[in-house]
Amino acid sequence: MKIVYLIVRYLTLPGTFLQAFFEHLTCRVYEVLIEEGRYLRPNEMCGHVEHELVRKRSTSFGICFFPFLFNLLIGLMLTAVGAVNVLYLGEFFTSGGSVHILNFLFLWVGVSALTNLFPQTEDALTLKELIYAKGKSNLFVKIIAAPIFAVLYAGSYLQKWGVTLLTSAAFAYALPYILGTFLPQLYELVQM
Amino acid sequence: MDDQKEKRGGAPEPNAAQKAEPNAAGKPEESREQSLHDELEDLARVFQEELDRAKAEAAADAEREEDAPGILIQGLDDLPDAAAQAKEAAEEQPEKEKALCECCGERPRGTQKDPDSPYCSVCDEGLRHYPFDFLNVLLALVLLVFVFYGGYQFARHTEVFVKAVEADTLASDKELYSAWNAYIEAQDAMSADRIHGELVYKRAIRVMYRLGYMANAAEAGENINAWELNLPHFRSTKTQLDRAAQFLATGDAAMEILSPYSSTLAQDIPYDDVLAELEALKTASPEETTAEDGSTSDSDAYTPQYTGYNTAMVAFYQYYLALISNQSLETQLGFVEEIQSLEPEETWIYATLLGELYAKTGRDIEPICAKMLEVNAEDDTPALLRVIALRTAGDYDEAVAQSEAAIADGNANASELYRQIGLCFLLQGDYEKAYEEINEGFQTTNPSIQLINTLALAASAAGEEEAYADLEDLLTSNGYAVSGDVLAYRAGTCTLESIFTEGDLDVT
Repeated sequence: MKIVYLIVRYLTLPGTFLQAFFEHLTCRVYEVLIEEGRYLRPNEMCGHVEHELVRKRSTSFGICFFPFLFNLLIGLMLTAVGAVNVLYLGEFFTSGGSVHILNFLFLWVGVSALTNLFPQTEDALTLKELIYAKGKSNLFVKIIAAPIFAVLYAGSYLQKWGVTLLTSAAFAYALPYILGTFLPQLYELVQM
Repeated sequence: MDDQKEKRGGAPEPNAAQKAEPNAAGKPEESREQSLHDELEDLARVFQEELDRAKAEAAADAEREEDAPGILIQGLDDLPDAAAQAKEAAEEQPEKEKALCECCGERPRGTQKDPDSPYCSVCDEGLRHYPFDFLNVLLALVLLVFVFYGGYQFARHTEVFVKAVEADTLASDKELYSAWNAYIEAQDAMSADRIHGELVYKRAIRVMYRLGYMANAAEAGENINAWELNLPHFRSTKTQLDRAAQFLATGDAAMEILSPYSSTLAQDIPYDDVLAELEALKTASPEETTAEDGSTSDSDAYTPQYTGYNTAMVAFYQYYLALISNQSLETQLGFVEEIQSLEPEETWIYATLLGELYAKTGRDIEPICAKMLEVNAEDDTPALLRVIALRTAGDYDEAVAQSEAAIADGNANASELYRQIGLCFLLQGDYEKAYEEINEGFQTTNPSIQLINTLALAASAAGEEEAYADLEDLLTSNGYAVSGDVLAYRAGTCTLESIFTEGDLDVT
């Protein structure tokens, strides 16, 4: 399945790059030692930086969560623009008649970012060990971290098998309808 | 190798044996043998000393230059301990390297915090602040700018998106009139923002088609590239545009036949001949509609494809001919039911007519009313049909009550409902009230010919001769004649009861 993983990674190059960049940035902020800083290596580390084993819970959480958060925000923004313009309004062409490349680019980069949200499985397992191993955290932390951890943990496995490309594409298709449930009301409020 | 060492290292011994063999017997030979032995031992000692010295020099050279030992060792390969020594030296080298930093390979590994670290303290610090590649930073900045530009684009498209969502919501709720208005607003917003949203046009065309606004649908279709209509996501739109063009072409062809009789009295219309002409349309081929008429030819414009005229639409015009020719309700119903059987999904052609004819002939109108509301929840026609059914059944009070309730609810057919109230009062003998109600309907909207004729009838019944004269002028100035029913009533050849309870059950 490594080949599927790599194909998905290279198909979603902007998201792969962004994820590695944000992982690098987070490692720098937390002063985590990076052993290999190339982002697009043709192996399972594609889209990640190779860093030392993290032993601190907050650092491990940060390395898993912040690249996820930044890619999610960028992905949501760009997917919203691309999906609304292309998939909902159908703005395939400019008013001049040429192909609206920018709209397709928004959609591609947005879906790419959403495809590459999740941490490496090793990082997710480290986080699990640091939060859920016996005596590592109190019950309150375990409960508070559970939803985010569940998303990160499950997502890391989905991403490992390249399934996130399908989920993000489906999400892009559904996003205009999701926006349609609240944006008109919000727009009216802003207009008032 | 060991054999060789033995052979070469212990060389004096075999030589000594070979040389000793000829003089193996006698004492003088023994003393000579002893001296030879001593001499050979001296030689071996000297040789050993020379060998040790050479090995020491080789070791010293190896320390001075890294490459030299290999060469020397290879050169001294035949010496007994040189290879082993070189091997030991080679094994010592990685161990020395292992003790150095994995990153720089110069300083000893291990940091104060982590003595087992494979990096020296300098490299450890550096790797904890691993530098960003300039190109990566540049790409990240470009993507950041792209995200902000995306936000701007999203804001620019929000108004259109909101209007399109509202229109879609109304369409999915089957509120087709409101949806149509919302799509028009969305299209205006798109034009203002120079947004070419083809899927909005697609959905607008679907609503227009379901409402039967074929000309509007065809016009909206011009916003979609002709070649795109062959793609899967526009296949339904292509079908709708083709059928819309076919309906329009059929309408044009039928009107060409019927237009000479639009203001002709019913008895003067050659019903059978015109009907045969219309019937012939069902098998005729439409004229090619290329850009020969001088209209500007747009290579991107889609040319609708259809074969033959639409037979259901021809049947509609046959019904219309039957109506203006004062044919019986059953004859009219026959044509409308033919439309229904040919195009059951196109309720916009037949549903209202079928409901009205069912109401007038005492049939159950509820199934067709339900079907109309199923297609368009905003359709006000079912309320009107129920009133007509009540009026023709003679339940005037209930008909008036339902009409007033429907008008109060903002029914779009208010003028017709006022007319129905007026008819109820006419049939109850309250002519003044009837005239007032029908006049109310006349003032409400742009009146139909039937409404003007009914008002003229009510004016005659109520003795409003001045009003009648004005209405007669209005009709004749627009090229219409006063209805035969009205003229007959004024001539005293028929009564109000006969007009509304016989034949067409209405003013024609």
